[in-house]
Order: sequence, then C-alpha cells, then structure tokens
Amino acid sequence: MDVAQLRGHSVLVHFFATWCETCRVELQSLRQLADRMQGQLFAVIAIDTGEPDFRVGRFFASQPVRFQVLLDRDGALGRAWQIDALPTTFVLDANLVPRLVAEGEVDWSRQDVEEALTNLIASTAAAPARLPPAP
Amino acid sequence: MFIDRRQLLKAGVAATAAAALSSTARAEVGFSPRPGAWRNFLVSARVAIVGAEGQTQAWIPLPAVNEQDWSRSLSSEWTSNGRATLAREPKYGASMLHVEWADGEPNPAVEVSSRIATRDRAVDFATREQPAPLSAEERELFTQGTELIPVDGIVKQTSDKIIATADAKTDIEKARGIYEWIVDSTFRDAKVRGCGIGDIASMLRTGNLGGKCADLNGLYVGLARAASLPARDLYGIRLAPSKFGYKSLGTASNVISKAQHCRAEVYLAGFGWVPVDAADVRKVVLEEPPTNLAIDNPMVVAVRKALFGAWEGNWLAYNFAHDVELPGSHGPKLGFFMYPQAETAGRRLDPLDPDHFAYTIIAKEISAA
Repeated sequence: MDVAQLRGHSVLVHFFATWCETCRVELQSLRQLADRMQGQLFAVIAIDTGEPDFRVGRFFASQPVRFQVLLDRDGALGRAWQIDALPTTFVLDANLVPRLVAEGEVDWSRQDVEEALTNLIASTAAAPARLPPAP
Repeated sequence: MFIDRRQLLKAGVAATAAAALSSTARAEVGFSPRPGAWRNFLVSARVAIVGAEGQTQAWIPLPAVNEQDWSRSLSSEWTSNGRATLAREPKYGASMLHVEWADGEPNPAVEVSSRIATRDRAVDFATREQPAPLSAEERELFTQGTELIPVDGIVKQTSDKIIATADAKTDIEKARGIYEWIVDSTFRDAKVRGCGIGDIASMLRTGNLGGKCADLNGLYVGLARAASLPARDLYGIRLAPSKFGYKSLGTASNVISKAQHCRAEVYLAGFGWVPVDAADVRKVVLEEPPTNLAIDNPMVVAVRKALFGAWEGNWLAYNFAHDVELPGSHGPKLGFFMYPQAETAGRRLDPLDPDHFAYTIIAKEISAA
C-alpha cells in the first residue's frame, strides 16, 4: 500500500501484534474511533508486526474492523519507523507529516484525544500543502 | 499531544511516512553469557498440603543434572513429619523426594534443601571440538517422541517445511533454522498457567502458537527431533537475577516459588549439547520493561543472538524427563516434572493452586562448600 494515496487525510498509523494483550484491547478502541470518525478526512492503518498471516487473519475474522490492516512480515517497516515497543501509534497530518506519537496504549474514547485528532484534521485541511512545482 | 495511559509524549516527530525516523542513539544493550566462575546455591523448598484427607503423599523434584561444563547437583537433605525416601525415575534419571504421610495426618509437611553449582555456558561455533559422542541409546532417547512431543505427523511436516524454507543443509543450520522459526512464529501468552502444558501437536494443529516455556521450548525439541537432531528439554527453576540487567530473565527476589523455567538443548556434532532458549526470547519481548517490545528492539536482538548457543548460569536444571510416573501415585503420568506434586485422598493436587497445595522455594547464593 502506498500511504501517499491518503494525502489529504489525517492518517493514524498503528503498529501492533495480536500476541500483545494491550494491543488487543486498543484495537477495539481504535475500531470504535474509526467508526465515529467515518465521513471525516481521517484514516486508520493498522500494521501487524512480524506475525504469520494466518494468525492475523484468524484474529480479525473474529474481531473485524473497517480500517486497513497491513502485514509487516519481515519487520522492515517497523525498523524504518524505529518501533521499539508495541503498540506504537503515529498520527500524520494531511500532508503525511507525523505530528503526534504515542508509545504504549492510548484510550481512543477519551474526549481530549478525539479533540486532538479533530483539531489536527481541521488545521491541515485549512492549509493544504502546496503541490510540488512541475518538473 | 496524546496523553496515554502510561506516559506523556511529545508531538513533532521529524519523519515522513516512508522514510526512516532521524536516528537517536539507543542505549547499549548486551547479553553475552560466558563460562566463568561457578556459582553455588542453596535451594530450600517447604511444602505443606492444606486440607489433607486419608492417604497423602508428595513428590519434590531434586536437582539431578550433572554436566561437566555447567551443572553440578551436589546434595539434598530433608526433614518431614512423613516418611521420605529418595526415588529415581528409571528412563531419564529424574530424582525426587517421595514423602508419604500416615493416614489422617492433619498437617503434612516437608522441607528439602539442595545444593547445586552452575555457571554460564557459551558455545564457540567457530571452533569444533571433540565432545563426548552420544551413545546409540542416548541418540535414540533424545530423538524419540513422547506423549506430548510427537515427532511424526504435523510435527514432522512442520519441521520439514521449516528446514526447506530456511534451505538448511547442515545440522547446525537446521537447529538454528528451527530456533529462528520459533522466535518468529510463536509468542509468550501471559494467560497460560504456570509453564504451559507442552502439547506441541495441538499447538501446530490449532495454529495457536502461544504459550510458555514448556510449550515453546517443547516445540523446539519436537521439531528438532523430527529433523533427527537429538534434543531435550531441561526442566528447572531460576535462581537469581540476570547479571545483564534483564528483569524478565531472572528472579525479583530470593523467593523463587513461581520461577520455574525450562530450557532446551540440541546435540550437534563437533559442539556437543548446545544450549537453546527461544522461549526466553519471547519472554523478553513480552515482559522486559517497558513490555511488548518489538522483535527488532535492541534488547530483543541481543538475547535472540545469544540464546542459540549460550545461556546464563542463574538457573538450575532438575531433570530432562518426560512422561514421568510418580512412584506410588494414583494419578496420571506427568508430561514434565518441574513443580512439587502431591495427592491426598487419591486425588492429584494442582501445583498451581496455593490455597490447597502450598510451597515456598527460596534460593540463596552461597560460597562453595
């Protein structure tokens, strides 16, 4: 998947693994967040780090989510983002610049958290990045 | 910024979605066990059966592994208000104290103290030596299946697939390939009771590759044996903190009642018995602060590299026995014998139920006798 396709959206990138207890709890919170934010310029991408496909598939078969779930099978993406612990979440603005980060679980139902996301969406929607000049 | 449940973090990460983050220096981490001075420990276990009825008996594992380079089981002594005898399981040589109390004894109890010596191990894979060869009987013993560790069917299929995928040709490549697969494919499951069950065929059939040491290292042993590599689980208990600073790889205090842990070995020509502990790599991933570490976290990378071929001498091995029949018992065979066991009124007690089967195990480092 090319994240650049989501330019114009605020993107929440969430690194997790199904063996991680706190990750499992947070994924449900993220699912609810994604449902609440539907219709806004906001996308969630969950990236499973280093697990077999079948395990991830089975997990989401029993707990489906609307957002994209990607597989970082060889850990290359985790290394590129310097993920040291799970869960770790980045929120990118509409220009795909990381603006917020959380290492550890986040309660996505909190009002202040949702306000921070909404403000981020509003601020970057009002000031879209300039397109690069034509070559 | 987000206020997460554990810490306040700042905004403003300087990176793009596709590029690496600007690098920040990571703290140096190291995990490099090397054979050095022997460490001596006194391990004392006090066992009491609560609510005993009728005939009551107990079996306490005693250290019985003697390996020239790293393990000396020195002596054990005991006191009890029952009749205590030393017993030895015939197939693997597991040693135990068997205690029988008079019918109706209201407070059956026993105290056992064992002295052991141990030290770090590390195999130098660059140097082939002339280790003691395995006898035909030993090779047979350590490549055959057990009730919970079959070496045919799905275990054999999985082993073959791992080896083919890794393109492993030599025994050391196969042994390492299986280790890496275990580290990558399994996970430590905090919800599993005690050290797990070690039913590796069920793990593979269900695809639930989560567990504790008896599961994950049992899986290593089964897959290795299925590849005709002699391998064995060693069932024991942690004795002391890790001197490398890993909280998850040592004890938090001298009370080690819940510090049981099993490790594994694989026999490789030119190197002898090689220590392997994939389960502890997954323990670091799950439990090493701040917990839930990524597989590429430097702390995980360091132990992953070391725990094929080395381990720290802060642990004692009781035995490498499977399918253990407890002498005089009315209950089933044990998949492994790492916890005190007891029966009362003909009923096997749960060694993980402290309300009915209480035991305290304490470890103390001592000077050599």
